[in-house]
Amino acid sequence: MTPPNDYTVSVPLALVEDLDGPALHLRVDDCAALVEAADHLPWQRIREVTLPSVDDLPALEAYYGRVRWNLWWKGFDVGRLLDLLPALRRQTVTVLVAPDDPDLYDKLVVGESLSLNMAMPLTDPDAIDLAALNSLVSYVLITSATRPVRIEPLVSMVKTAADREDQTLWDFAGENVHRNLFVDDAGRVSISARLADTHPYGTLREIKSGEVESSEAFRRLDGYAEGLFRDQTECSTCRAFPLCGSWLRYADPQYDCEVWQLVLTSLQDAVGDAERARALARHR
Amino acid sequence: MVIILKMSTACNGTCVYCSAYKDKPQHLSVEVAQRALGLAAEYLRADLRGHVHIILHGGEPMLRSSRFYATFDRLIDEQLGALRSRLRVAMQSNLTLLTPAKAEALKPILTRPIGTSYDIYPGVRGIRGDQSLDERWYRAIHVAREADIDTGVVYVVHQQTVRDTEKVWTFFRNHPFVPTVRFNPLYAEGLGKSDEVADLGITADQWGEFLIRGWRLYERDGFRPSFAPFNEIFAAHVKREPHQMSCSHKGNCYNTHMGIDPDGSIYNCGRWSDTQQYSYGTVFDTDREGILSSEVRLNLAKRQEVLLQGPCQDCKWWVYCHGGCPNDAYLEHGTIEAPTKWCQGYLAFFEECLRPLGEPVRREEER
Repeated sequence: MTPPNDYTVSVPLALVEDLDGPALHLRVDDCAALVEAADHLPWQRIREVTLPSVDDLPALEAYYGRVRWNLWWKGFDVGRLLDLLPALRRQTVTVLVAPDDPDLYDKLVVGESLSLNMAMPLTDPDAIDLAALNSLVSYVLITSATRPVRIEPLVSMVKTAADREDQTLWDFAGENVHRNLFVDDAGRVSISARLADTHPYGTLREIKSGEVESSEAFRRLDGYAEGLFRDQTECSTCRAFPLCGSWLRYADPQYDCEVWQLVLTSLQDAVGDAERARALARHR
Repeated sequence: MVIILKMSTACNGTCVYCSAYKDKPQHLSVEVAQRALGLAAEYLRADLRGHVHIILHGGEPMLRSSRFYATFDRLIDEQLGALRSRLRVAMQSNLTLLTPAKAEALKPILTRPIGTSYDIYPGVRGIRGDQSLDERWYRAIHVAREADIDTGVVYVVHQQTVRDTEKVWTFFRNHPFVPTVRFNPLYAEGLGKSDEVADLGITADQWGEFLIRGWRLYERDGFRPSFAPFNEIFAAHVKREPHQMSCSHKGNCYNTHMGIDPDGSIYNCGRWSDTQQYSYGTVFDTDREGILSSEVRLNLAKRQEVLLQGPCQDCKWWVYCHGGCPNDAYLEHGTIEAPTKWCQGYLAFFEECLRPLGEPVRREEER
């Protein structure tokens, strides 16, 4: 399969050879397998590699500068993190914490305080502890008033709200219909792991170059936002829409997003307050 | 100079408040178009650094064929020649008749967005035939986007809007295809003054209420949505640039606007053309000099003086309003020598929302 040029394709290590295309995001379950295959990988096309554990990083020292590295932090062993600190502090390394991790808030804040790039991948609206999310938004807003913060996607969300960039939870979750493709372990192509079962575009074998965009699942995703306004759904008049883009309700139109709404609008309000003060100060 | 050129007074719309409704529709002839463009050329020659903006208006301007627009494009070249570089052309349309072929015909002509009216409430706007306005509108928006033609929305504020201001505001702020919105109050002209529309019409107080609610939302959004009149009022009051207010509030529309009917009659703007009052003559019997010396126009020019010596004498907000649109004053009072019916609404809004941000721009500060 040759995906259109603008796409980044998330693909398991085992299937990387079946794909052409300019930008790959490699998912690796076993670091040893990556080390073994490393010399034969198309590094010029690989943008990111996600590995199961921060402990995997030292084994890949020879390849550090080639791509961005995403490493999951499992457990809450701060001592181990400190051991790995010099390697983890590289600009190209991001430490991932699962949104359903019971220590989500503490791990992200500890990591960020150690000057690490931290991220909480958005996988499913229900997966995240909303109390932790709320605290994280407050942390990012307050801390970013005095110094740059490195917790994604929250920093990007604040930036988007401030700059009115056209990005939503779809983008932050890596589910931009015009940019992201996901290949699962069985070779099925979709937009993401979340929607792989319900919205398959086809398989690697079935999909030829450019045909992704003619699949029914793609068209549904692509026309989703317009339909929300045409049908004047609740989402079309929701204050949180500029950040949410109805990502929360795509899989389940009845999803109760009230708490998410509060979190997102509190972020928008904080940015709006700052914008208002700046706009008024500029002309005084 | 802004010339509102009525391409046709016919319309495929069934909007209940239509201010331009005519029993016997007329279509702009090639001859009138030629004369109107000749007039535009005169204005461009008289002001070597200025621009002329033509707004293709109606009725529904897209009822005219692609072939007519091809002819219109040729007429622009014939009448303006090199002056064309200083011509700006926009359109006001319900958009529902935009097809790829029409977009192609309009593309060389349009240099500014198509303003398209839209409403979220059922029963207010509509089109003839079986298809829904929404269906056609969204289809046309895609055609416009494909053709790289920008669009903005003109929204007519009525009773339901005042009740649900936040809903309407948020809908447009969120809408992926609507970059700009202009909110205008529903006014009593054409079908807008019929009894059937009485339930939708708003009072000055309600317009003030809408402005106050809208301003709070505009503040909440960091003063950033491109929603008029809020962005214009922000520019006037906070940036101290009252010249950014719209024609209704600058008090010099007799210098800046002109409306031309399909039969060639010239008015002070498209609204006077709807009212069919105060004509300056026709494109066949007058020219720029004739328009400038027209008694009707000179009377319009005197309005400012009359208001400043009378009802608006002590008004601190004069610079933001200038008595409002003279056509609004005429429709309410039968004379232009009065402030508009919206005056009280604006005053309430100015005092409640603008006063805390600073004193109004004074008359002597106005450029």
